[in-house]
Amino acid sequence: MQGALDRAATAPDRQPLVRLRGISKRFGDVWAVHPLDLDIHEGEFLALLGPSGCGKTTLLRLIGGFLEPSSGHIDIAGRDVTRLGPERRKTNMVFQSYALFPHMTVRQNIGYGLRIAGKPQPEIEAKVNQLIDLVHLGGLADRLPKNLSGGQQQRVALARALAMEPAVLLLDESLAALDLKLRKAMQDELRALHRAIGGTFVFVTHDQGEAMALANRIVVLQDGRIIQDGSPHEIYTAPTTEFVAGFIGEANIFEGERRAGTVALANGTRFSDAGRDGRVVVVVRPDAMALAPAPFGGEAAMTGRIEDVMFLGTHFRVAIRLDSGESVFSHRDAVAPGTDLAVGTRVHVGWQKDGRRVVEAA
Amino acid sequence: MSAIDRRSSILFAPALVVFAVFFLIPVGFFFVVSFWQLKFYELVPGFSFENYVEVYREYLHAGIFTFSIALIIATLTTVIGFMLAYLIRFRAGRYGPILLFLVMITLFGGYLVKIYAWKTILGTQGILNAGLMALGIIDEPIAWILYSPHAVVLTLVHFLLPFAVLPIYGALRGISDDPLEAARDLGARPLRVLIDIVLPQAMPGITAGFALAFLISAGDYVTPRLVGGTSTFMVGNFIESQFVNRLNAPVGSALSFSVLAACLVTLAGATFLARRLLRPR
Repeated sequence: MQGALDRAATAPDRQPLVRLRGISKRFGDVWAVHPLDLDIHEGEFLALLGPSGCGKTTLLRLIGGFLEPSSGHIDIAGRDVTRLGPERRKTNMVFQSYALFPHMTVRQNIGYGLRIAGKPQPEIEAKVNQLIDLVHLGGLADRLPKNLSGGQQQRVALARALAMEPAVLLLDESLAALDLKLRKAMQDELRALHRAIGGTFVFVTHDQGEAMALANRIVVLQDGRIIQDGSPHEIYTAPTTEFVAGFIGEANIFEGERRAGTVALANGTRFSDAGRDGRVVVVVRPDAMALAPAPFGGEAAMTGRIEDVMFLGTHFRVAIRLDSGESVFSHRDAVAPGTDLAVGTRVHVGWQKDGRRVVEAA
Repeated sequence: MSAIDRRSSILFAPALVVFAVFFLIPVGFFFVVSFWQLKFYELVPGFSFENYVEVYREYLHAGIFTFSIALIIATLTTVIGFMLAYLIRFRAGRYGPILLFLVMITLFGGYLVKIYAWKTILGTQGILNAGLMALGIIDEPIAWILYSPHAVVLTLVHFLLPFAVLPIYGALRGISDDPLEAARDLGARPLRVLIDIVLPQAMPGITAGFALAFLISAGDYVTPRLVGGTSTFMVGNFIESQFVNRLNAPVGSALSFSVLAACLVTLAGATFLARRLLRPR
């Protein structure tokens, strides 16, 4: 299972479709993107994930040719495109604001790139009709953008970019403006689209859930640097920094110190873990945080009192106040919670060795 | 009618009164007068097209000349105005507002001041001729620059520029940047982006700028008199002379309404043509 998830991200010896080498971008004195290398392979659905201001949109705009890098070079399909504008790159962008041409109908918007390319009229019409079907815009073809809903505009922008058959499709927070339900529907459509037509998608998002849902490879950015690069599964289960652990999914984070292969947490818990001496943080996902009425053979064993229980359909989200004063979260299966979840119940809390991750503190 | 509608119609009232008293009634009066006759310097009410026939016979030539000049002026003003507005909106960055202010400031200068300024620049003793002679490019002053149609065109283009820049800038400000980037992303070179995306969206502003420049120059009679010389008589001069010198309000009115009608037809034609050329396919 994990092998299948990781395959796209780790295929080693294929020629990358997009190759970034030493790419950086500086605005005045501010580094939006520090020099970095990144290879994007054909067929990948890659998420550039990070909080706002982390440089992810700048990186996407560098790939699309809307910005010139301050250093480094970019190859797309084996050709150096560093100094070429967006009109001469085989990349197409779906903008956050959709950026539809307000004076053109849906049909004219979608066909615009093909018309610029000088394609014959019958070919343009056939292609546009095909795309209108693909993104479910039948019956709206002759409307102006202002007469479309947000989700429909989104699909026009997508179809307009796809019409160019881009080597890389770039999506800039393209779903951010949609409401939750529509966003979920568009996520499903994007995945289906990627399955159906293949191709390479790169999208920018600050929403880790969206990145996990869509991408088969996630590149986490922080302050203009790549912090971690891997499959969603890797990023979730094996975050390399406290920042990644906290940013992707929910996490219980304990501060501690490692000396001679033993990690000692501030609350007194000790367990052995090989690695460099120094300050560390221990990351435990809520689903790996075990609860039991009696002591159990975990790596860490603590006690506490259940403070709050939230029912979330598939699971309970249980907040526990440890005797050491810290607050932790545990997800318990809704069908078989394994212990009495009444508020105020005293419980034993802990984790198994493979349920935690020790990373060096920043 | 809802309460809000009634309230807003009350807000309309003062403007409507001013418009009616100072525009509709006088214009209506002169429209009626244009069908009257003048007998021994007395207005004789009636209904005849004689004045219009006379206008056609006497002033067709002046009309064509005026419209040609006005079209040249309006076209030049609109093109230069568009370039300026485009610069301010898309290229000047943080200097944009300063440039816009400079454009506006020329409006404070006053109409006659500008005309006299151009007289001193273009005259035989003027800065232009003095400069060219000092540089050794010419031996004697060029006399035909001032007191010619060229001087009228130059003066009016300069005077009208803010009238074109403002509405066009207003229209350009309403255009968002993302679609321009999207057009480039889809393969359009800068000139194509301008023609396909910017111009169609800026059309209302361009039309307004063109119309202002055209109407003001087609009706102007001060500039041609001061810098146009003896050979540049525009229709405005003839209208003025009918009313002021000959005291012939009926013919003056008929001439005025003929010019007004021709202006509207010209503008409608120009707008139609521009829309057609810029229609997306």
